[in-house]
Amino acid sequence: MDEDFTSQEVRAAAPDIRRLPEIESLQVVRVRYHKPVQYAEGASRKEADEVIEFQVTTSADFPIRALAPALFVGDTAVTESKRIGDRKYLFVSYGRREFKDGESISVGWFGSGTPERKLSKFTFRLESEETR
Amino acid sequence: MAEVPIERLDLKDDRQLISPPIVVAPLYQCATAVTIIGYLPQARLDVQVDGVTVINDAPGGFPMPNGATLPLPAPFMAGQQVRARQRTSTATSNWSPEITVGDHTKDYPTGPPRPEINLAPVYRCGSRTGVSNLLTGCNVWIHADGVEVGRVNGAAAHQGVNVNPDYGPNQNVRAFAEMCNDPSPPSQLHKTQEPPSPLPSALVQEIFDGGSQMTVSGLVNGARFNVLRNGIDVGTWRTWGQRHLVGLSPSVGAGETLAVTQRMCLGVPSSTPVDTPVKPCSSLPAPIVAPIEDGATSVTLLQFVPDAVIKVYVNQVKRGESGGPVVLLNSPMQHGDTVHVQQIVGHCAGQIAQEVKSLCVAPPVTGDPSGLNLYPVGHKDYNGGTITSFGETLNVRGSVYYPADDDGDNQPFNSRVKQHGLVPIVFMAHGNHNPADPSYLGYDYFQHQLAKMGIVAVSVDCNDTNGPGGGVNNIHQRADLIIASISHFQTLNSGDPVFDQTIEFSKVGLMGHSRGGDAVVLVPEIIALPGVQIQAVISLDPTEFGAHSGKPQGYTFMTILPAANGDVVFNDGAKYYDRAQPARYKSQVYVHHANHNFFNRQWLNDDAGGAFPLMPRPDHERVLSAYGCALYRNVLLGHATEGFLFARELPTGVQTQNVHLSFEIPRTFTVDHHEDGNGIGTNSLGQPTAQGGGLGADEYPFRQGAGAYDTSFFGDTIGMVAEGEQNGTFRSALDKPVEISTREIWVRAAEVFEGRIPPDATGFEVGVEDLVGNTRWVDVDDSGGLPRPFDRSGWLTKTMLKTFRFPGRCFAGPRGKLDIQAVLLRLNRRGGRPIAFDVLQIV
Repeated sequence: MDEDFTSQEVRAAAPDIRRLPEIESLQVVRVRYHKPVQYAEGASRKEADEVIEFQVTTSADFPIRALAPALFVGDTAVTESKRIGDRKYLFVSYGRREFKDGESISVGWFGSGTPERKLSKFTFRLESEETR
Repeated sequence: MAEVPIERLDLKDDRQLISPPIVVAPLYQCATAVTIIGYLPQARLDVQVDGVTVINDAPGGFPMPNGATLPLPAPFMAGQQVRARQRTSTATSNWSPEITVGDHTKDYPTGPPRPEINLAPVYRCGSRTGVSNLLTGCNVWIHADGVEVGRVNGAAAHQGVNVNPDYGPNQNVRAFAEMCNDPSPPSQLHKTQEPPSPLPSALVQEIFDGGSQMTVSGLVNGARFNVLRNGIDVGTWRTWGQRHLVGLSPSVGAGETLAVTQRMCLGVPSSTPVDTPVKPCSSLPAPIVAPIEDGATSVTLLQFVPDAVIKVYVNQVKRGESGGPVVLLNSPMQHGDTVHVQQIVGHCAGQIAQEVKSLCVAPPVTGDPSGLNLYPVGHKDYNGGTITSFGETLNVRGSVYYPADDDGDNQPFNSRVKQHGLVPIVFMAHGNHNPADPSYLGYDYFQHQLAKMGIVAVSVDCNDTNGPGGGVNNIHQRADLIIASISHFQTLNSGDPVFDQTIEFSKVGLMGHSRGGDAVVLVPEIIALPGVQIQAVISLDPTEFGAHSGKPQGYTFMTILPAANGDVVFNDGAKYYDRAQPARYKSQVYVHHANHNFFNRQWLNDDAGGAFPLMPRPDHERVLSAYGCALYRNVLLGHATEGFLFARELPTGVQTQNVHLSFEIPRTFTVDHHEDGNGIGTNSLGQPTAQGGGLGADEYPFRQGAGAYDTSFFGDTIGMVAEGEQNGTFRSALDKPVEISTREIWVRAAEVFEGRIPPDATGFEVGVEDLVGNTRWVDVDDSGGLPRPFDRSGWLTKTMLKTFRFPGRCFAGPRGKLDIQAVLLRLNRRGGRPIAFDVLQIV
């Protein structure tokens, strides 16, 4: 019986889940709440009547993976994030945390070991305040 | 292992020495047959019950494939002692070790195990079906469309049943069993399918001059096949399929040819025969033998000619002779013994022996902890409404598998199980993934395995929390969904048509993968549901968002960590393992060539993007199945499966060469865990340590960050790194003499990754110093060998410690008792490469 022979199939490239997009725009807002909002800190649940929101537009959507996108203001990680639109993300820092104007802004991955970071062209500057 | 020509050896035979055969255990009362294995081909078998011969001079026939299942003159009764021996024309063996007859209702209070049709599928025109998962000596029968078509009373554990008439089209086929009039659940239902057309050729495996048994492979389930010897038809056999052993008389000679043709339905052409020539005696190879552990009283053959006589020599003196697959020895193996195994087929004596050395630790492959198959499995989706968590509305829903009266959706809970008592429950939570994918369906294989052994298995749909964002809130939301699902099932436990009064909430297990693995460490810290006790938690490659203390405590904890991880690349679960303060023990399963995603059937991509060589996906699942089931069976069902987690036995069907276990039992005699802050000069017993022979050792954080030995440590503990010249030693004194003959020295160790992986492996020796100052050494190669770091090409290659066992018998030897006053470590490899150590215990 004749035998067959073929070359090995080329595997399709898997998506690069570690890819970090660039920050294209950044708006920083201090939000005060009439009714406090809940957040978690360690195993505890707390309430905050004030947060700082970072509304970010990126060059591409973050890949979906085990780790989560985080924003870094200097060395301080803002780890609560959610997608609010095409390439638009909201990062929230709970409580009355003070950031210094001019601190560098980086984007990175959080949730495992030492976070990977990518520096952006933006620095911290509180642009507006709201009450909700 | 090595192959050695017989002529180079001085083997001392003893023609009067033949090994006892083996009575297959367990034995249960009401059994009307007993199975004997491991005897010489054509030996005569005797069986005694309570010292009285009940079977005398029974023909054994061939020991392979399944030994001899001999009918008993009277059924067994619980408490009886059963033993067997074999006789040839020239020798009589000793009696085998006695097996006590038990009561199956003690081991299986809800009925005998569920028969399995094996092999499946079942084909139209099939004439024979194999049924496995049987209690030896039970009665088994097969129904086709509700009509009995075949039966065997006094069955073997895997029994072939001839069916008459042959199967018809689209028939519903099930197998049943009973022991002591106690019925098993029915087997899974199989519908007869059309057989393959054309029929594949059946092949004869290699056979040697002098052989009396041939192995046929490629047989279709239920086929009839004819054997052609030198082109002449010598007879017809029925088969349950795949492989079949056929006795030949007279024995074959070199130059003969054998072939097989198989058929199914009348009028359909038989398969094409393929001639296989009989090989000359000179080509008979050495048998292949499983690793042998000190203290072993038998040798297991992995590859051998089925009708061969197997001779086992220890230090060139014969210690056993019988047929495969297991040969009993006349005395236990001692450390360092050299074993030679030879096979003889008829008049053909193999000229090559297999040489193996007895090892301190060589755990046997004993079975599949996920294979316990007792019940049909029911399935439901559940919906517990919604909860509000951090201002968002989340759906409480998922899937559940449970022991049922029959397989399928919405089946009634198994009535005998329900009558017997409440059962444990396990909740599983997937991690983050594309919310368009039904991630919660990805552990259905694991849920099914747990359900068929009597554990309700729930997979929580956490897709409302999935997507591109995250954070600590997200982990809490997943925990809220798990807790809400637990609460929902507590509600179902009171009044639901399926689950009413079925679940024992003091026996809850959790499994979480990725962010789910993070959430299941949080759940025990925040859950406030009355009556819920979490006994076991599996954290499968968890993230660490900082949502909890990071210190699992109060339950038995396991983390499974894939080394070829492209997502949770820091293997944060190693920190959870190091920090864990478990109730009974903790376990770390570090898996080379495994990635993050392939444990979940819905997660299709390789998270490392092809960067590392991987085991196939099913082998990832086998790791979760085997070690996860071993944990839950031990902790939730009380089964003796902890041996799989303490590397005392190996599971079947797992690439265990890629699995590196760590394990620790709390409140054990700990010589040094290096966490005392008292420096390298004093151990955890407050006793002095000493470094000599050029060895240098110090304590370091085994974690990322300041003070670590280097950047390759990813846990969270303090340990010791030792390095230096060849034969440098580290001595750790005990605070009192300890007799170790029945105990074990445990130590965690790893080859330190220093930026590149050298070509050669390294290692060390463990020594024990007796009360007069003499030291006996055992090499880590005798305990499995120090694994190489998993090569991530510099991208977070890790120094990942593994626990090694050194049983005291390896040091004590035939003298028996050994009191020691110190434990030593010796670096006896060239090059002085550093080795990490931690948690030195005497268990």
